[in-house]
Amino acid sequence: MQKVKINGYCTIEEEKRFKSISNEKNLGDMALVQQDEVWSMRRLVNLHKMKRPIGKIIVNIDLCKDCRFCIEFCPPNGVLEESKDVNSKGYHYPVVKPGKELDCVACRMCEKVCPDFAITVVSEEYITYDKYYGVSRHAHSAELYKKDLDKLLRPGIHFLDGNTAVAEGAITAGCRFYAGYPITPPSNEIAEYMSYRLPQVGGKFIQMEDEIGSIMAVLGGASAAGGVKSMTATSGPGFSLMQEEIGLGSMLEIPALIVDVMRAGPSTGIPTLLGQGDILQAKYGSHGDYEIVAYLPANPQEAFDFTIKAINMAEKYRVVAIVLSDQLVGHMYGKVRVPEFDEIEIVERPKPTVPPPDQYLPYDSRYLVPPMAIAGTGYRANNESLTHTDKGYPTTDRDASFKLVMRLVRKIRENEKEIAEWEEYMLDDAEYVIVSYGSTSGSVRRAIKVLRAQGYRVGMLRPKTAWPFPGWVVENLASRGVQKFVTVEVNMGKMYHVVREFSRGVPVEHIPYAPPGYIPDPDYVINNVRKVIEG
Amino acid sequence: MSVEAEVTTTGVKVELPKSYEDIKDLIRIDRLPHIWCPGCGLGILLKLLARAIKNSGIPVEKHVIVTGIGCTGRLGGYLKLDAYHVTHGRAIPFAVGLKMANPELEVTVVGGDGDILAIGGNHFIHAARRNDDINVIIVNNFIYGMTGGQYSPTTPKGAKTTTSPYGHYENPFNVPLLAYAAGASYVARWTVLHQNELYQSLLEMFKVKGFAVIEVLSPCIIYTDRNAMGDAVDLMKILRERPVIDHNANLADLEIDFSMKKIILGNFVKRERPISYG
Repeated sequence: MQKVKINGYCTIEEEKRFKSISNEKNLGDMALVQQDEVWSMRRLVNLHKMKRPIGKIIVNIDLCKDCRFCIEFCPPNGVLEESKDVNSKGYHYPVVKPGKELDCVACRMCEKVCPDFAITVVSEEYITYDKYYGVSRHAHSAELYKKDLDKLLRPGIHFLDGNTAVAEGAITAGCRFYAGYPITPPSNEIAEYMSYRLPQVGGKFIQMEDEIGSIMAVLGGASAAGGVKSMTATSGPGFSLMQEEIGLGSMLEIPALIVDVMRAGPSTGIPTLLGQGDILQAKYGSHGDYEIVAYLPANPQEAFDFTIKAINMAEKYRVVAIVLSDQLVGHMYGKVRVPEFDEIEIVERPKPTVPPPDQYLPYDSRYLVPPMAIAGTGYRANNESLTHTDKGYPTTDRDASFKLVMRLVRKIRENEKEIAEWEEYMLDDAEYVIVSYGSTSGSVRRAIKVLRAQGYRVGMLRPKTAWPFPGWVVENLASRGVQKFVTVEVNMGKMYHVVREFSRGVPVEHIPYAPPGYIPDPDYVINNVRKVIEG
Repeated sequence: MSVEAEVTTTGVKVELPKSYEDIKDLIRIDRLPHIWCPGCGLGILLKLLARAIKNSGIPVEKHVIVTGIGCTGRLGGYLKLDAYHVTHGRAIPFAVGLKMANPELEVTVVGGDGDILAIGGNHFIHAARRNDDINVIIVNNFIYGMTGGQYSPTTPKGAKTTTSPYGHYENPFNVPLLAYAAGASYVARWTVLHQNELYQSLLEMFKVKGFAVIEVLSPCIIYTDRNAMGDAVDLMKILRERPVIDHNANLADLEIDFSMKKIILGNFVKRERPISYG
């Protein structure tokens, strides 16, 4: 006896032969599907032998929302009807019509069409999808991006511009993904340079369709593949577009680096000239409560160093880090000393210690900085932009909201003394303190030398981190008897407000720049500071 | 019959039916019942997507779901996968970043018509142009459901919404044509009722190398309410009776007008184009 080929199909000739045989034997269709008949062709249905499953419809009443899909789409049309009772939410649920218990053929249409997981159909015969389809074919791969020290900028002295120094700093710190959108001033140097350099070190570069796409791609890249350190670079208008996603990065706690090479504003302003107007926007630009870290480099060396530091801080605290460079720093050429690689501190984000997936909580509030699971490592975390619980589920709960937002701000505020950096220049006996940062601090430094020679006791406080701002330094100076704070920056008074917050009643004056987009030169600073001092 | 019984976040004790045993580790049972309205098609898509992911042949750990904002944006949160619920319209660029940084991931974006085609429209066409190797499921319910029924880029001309109380003036997107013209490698359109076809299409989508788009027509009571079309079940009946399956249809004919007399479904496009990287 040969095996019957169940799923075979017959040609027209075969079918004719099939029918002639059945006519000869005068058996009718039914006999043709005897087990011992050999047909490598489609078989007719033997109604006597074919089993029809009788389905039993089980309704999970509490999940039902009374959409009536199951009642409408039952093919025999009439097995189910609406109940007279209601469930705990007040919905009528489907019940089997009296007398129709045996009519269900277990076609599972009601189960399939139910959007709410409320219906199950049980029958004797059961095929799971698992058995139909194969097992997984992908093996877990090794880490994608390994550091290739040969391809990094060699230790030693280099002559670089600020934008290139930022790019090299990022590569040295382990950045292997760049997504950006062309904008002046950083596009020529940072984006183009990264597109050239990243493939050499095993990284990837993409030019997105706009800045929002860029920052989103960066946040995505930073979430994947062993935690690729990712960055973007932009200027004022692009930075404004990115604000919403800075909030997203803070909420999802994704480490990412944004380099904002500030230019003159507002709006498109003067794209090719400097501004320092993004200081407050960097911290307060997105809605809600969150904290970021922002560095203020003043020369190419600092552009290199601070980019590494910013990436480290982003990884350490799982925040968005920003390097607030400006057009002059970006286009300024200078000496950059690259330290030996073992002298450079590279920080990696905290990694989960529990095995995947169920014990892991993506926003574990027992930690200040919870371990970060990388997409594709089996942790299956729900990364939620809504206010969420420790597990990553959206919530409107008062305590959960409080716990989450407190943690988001605490992780920077509690560590601000460790993060914040500043330079004190001739402050020991200073009566007048000029607060300045970035490229402007160069003019101020020169002005202070001249003013000191003229007998004025002035000094400079230069914050190296805009955020967190070293407010306690300003407080100490104020309580030490400083007569006045003077802020010199290329805007109409931004850090002025921050200094005033900590000045304890000591007057703060702002020296506005004269022509927009131009750095205040030393003479301008000297004249105006002298006016402030002499009243 | 239950395989899993958990007290959910809403306090209801949920027993997932036995027939979902194969996907029980992919559904966040403790979050059921889900937030969607009675008659929403998203629950159906959720089940199908979970099954398709389970049987895609790719380990579930390698699957990542990225969702934007809107009703559909909540879908990722019910799947026990690496899921990213990001800002409005920006799911595609986020997914592009994920995929670029780790090409081993199978990244799927699920979004509504408003999320992907309005605020995210630019990202959609550019990702299709580059042919980024990601999957995009557009759940088209013809309206902004979560915000209460404003018109969306796929709202047919003449339909009434809260922002078009006298009937909508504008023409809708023909989504398959748009996706094809922008450069997608795989374009299909199904409804949540065409479950076997949609399921096969989802499996196919995971295999496609390149930008794969599936438009899923889904009923929405917000849309039917505004247009006196009855309940979601009445729209579902239309989706049962009217559609014609034509895989070789002229893409220019695929527009769905307000009368819904002509709804053409099918796997329209499958072509090989160089992808943007890798």
